[in-house]
Amino acid sequence: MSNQPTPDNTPDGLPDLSPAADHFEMLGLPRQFDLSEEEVRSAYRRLARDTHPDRFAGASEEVVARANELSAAINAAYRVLLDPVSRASYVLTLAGGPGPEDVRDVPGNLLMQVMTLRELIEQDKQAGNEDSLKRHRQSVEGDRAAAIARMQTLARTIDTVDAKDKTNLRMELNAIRYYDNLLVELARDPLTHPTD
Amino acid sequence: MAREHDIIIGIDLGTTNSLVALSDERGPQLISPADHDDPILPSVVRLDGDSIAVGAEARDHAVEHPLNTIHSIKRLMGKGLADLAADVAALPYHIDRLPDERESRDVVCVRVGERAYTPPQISAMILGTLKGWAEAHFGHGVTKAVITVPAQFDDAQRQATRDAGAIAGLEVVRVVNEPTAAALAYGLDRSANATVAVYDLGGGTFDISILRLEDGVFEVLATNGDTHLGGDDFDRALIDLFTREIRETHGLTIDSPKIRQQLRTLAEAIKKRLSDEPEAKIEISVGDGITYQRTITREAFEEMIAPFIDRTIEACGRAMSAANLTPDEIDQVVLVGGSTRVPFVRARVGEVFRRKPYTALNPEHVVALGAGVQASILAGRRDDLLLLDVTPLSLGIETMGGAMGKLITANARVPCRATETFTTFQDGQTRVKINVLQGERELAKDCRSLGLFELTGIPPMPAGIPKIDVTFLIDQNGILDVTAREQRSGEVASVQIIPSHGLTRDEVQRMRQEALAHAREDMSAHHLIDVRTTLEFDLNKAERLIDKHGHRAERALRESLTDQIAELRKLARTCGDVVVLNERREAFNHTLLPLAELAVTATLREDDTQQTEQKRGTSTASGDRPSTSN
Repeated sequence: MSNQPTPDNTPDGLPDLSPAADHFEMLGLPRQFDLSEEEVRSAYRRLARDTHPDRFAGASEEVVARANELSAAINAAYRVLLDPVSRASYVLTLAGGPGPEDVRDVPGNLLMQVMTLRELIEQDKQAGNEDSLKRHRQSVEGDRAAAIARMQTLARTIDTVDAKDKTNLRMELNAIRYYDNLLVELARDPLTHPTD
Repeated sequence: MAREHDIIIGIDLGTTNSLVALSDERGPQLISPADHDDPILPSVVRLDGDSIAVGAEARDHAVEHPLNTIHSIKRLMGKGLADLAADVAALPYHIDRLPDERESRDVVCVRVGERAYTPPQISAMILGTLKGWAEAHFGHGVTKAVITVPAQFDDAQRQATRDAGAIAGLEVVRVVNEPTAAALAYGLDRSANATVAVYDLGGGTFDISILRLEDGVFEVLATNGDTHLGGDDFDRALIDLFTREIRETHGLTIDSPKIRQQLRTLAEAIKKRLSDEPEAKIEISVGDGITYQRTITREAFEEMIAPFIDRTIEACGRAMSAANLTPDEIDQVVLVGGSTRVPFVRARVGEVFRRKPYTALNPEHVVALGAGVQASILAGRRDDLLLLDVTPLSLGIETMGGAMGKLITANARVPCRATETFTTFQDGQTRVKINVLQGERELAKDCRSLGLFELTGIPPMPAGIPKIDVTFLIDQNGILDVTAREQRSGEVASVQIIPSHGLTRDEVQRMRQEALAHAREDMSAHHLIDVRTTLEFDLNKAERLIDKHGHRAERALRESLTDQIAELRKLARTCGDVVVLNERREAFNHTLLPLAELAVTATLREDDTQQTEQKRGTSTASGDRPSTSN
């Protein structure tokens, strides 16, 4: 759990935080990959209670503007830190690793696999081959889980890994994006075809 | 006790009906006008020269006044004429484009005779009536309100709602999303932490919002919907069927506004009847001595509305995937809006979420009650609750080549902020125009333009040298604020906004003045009855108090009170000034206080059975209204 102290409040009642602080500082969380969803959520809820503009409805325009600015920064931090994949990407950037524009590669021959799979999915969809689609989904989900596991290992030790592994982490993150897109494609909206 | 300046009312400004609520120690309550008990104000306005009728009176006589009875004005808020092409045929009244020399702006207006009314002006008449109800209730002026809007409302529609408030003399301290407000009312009902889906199908709009309720924090996870989908579409489907059949079997084209209005009223009635009965019958004289008759079964009706329900179900799927949740992870489904009374809607929603929807709260009241709760939060009366909402639509700018460059994505928590750097293309250029867009489509032309934002006061420099940071902030109301600063000089560029579908500050100001001029006569006409009724109510109570406890007071006080009652009764008949009447009523209640105190003391001494009964009587007579005790 985070043991970071709650920041002191400024005279206007808002926490003494700079909107320029990094996302971890913003939420008062330790700068590390290993955080539970509940830790991030509860830090966010606590800060939202102190900074949301609704709390300052009767205050001066300056205070409301500051509340807006702080809330926006806290919301941005929450968005990035809540999801483990975007959190991993963020710790990688903080550690000086390559950004998504710097390294666009994916591990191994993933691109080939994805292209082949897309064609198969298209064919199966047209043929209404549900069983085959189900198998594709299971295999993509399995590959994604494996990529997530590798991502976690690298992100946890981000301060000690070398430049090559930082690049590897970025490639894993890119791969996860490909898997996510495939899953979206595979997700037959169950709602438009209600099960009887 | 509450004072005038910290009273904030909560308003549900609906397509079909509107309501006003307050929230105090006893929780949220709806406010009814003094002369009857129904808190529902039909959102219908009849414009007749200088005379304006709002509510049931306008709705019930719509057939006689098809061209000047305005219903469903909410569907026109923040819209241009071009947006409403599909609606023109179905509306009995005339709509037009507000005259404007600027081609970039398209604001719709309603034409009644020689006059043109913008949708915010007509909405302001509805708001003004609700404001009057609240003022009669409190016995003094009300100047602040929370107003709810569909979650899917874009910036122009939210801005138009705020403008309507300003025209009605209300500072809109917060625009709240309807499903979020409903959750707030619902959340007060049950204390457990839960994930809740709010399915809100009203007269004109559909929203689905998914929220997590935890320790008094209402966190919206995702929202989706359609601002042009609701019970009106069910009516329209029926009307289309009737007109087609009348044309095919009798060779008649329905172009009389009166018959169109009649068909509309009948369609609405049939829709409602089919919620309770397996079939309903229509019979209408269509002229030339011809009567059109037909029976419609519930199955046939369900088939007609199925495509609309399908659209809502698809939106539910999009909201769940945006929240990263499956139906099994949702603990409760709440139904909001009058159209959720349709059994078919309930059945389909139950099917999708695999559970019976929760319907304990009146779906037509729950949004207003939630607005009342939010009002009490903003008035600083409750700090145990907090709403964390999201923006329904992505925000971006038109980039070179006409693409939509997203800056903020849909379902981002508000307030949220994005900064983008712009530069100039010509040497010495001092202004830059930015087309700000809202929507999910790839191309700028398929998104909705919020307006042209013109940055001026850029220091003259060679092309490409100035770096202008433009910050887009979507505030907690879902409304956009844009600021700009040139990096090098640190100069703040000013941002002028030409709204694509909205009113300028000056126009709102002018409309406010017009409404004020009108309201001076109108206020008295509309609210006099309410204030008189309240006064009479208080005087009767005082009389009963004097009868029972008068002997305990000094004779001088007793006589003075009796005289005042007689005088106020006379005043109530002769004086037409709402403010004077209220002031006198308050003053009177104040002079009544010593007697009320004597009565309480006396009651406390009496025996148990009597005690309970009389205490109730005296506490009311001592003026438990917020305005009379301090």
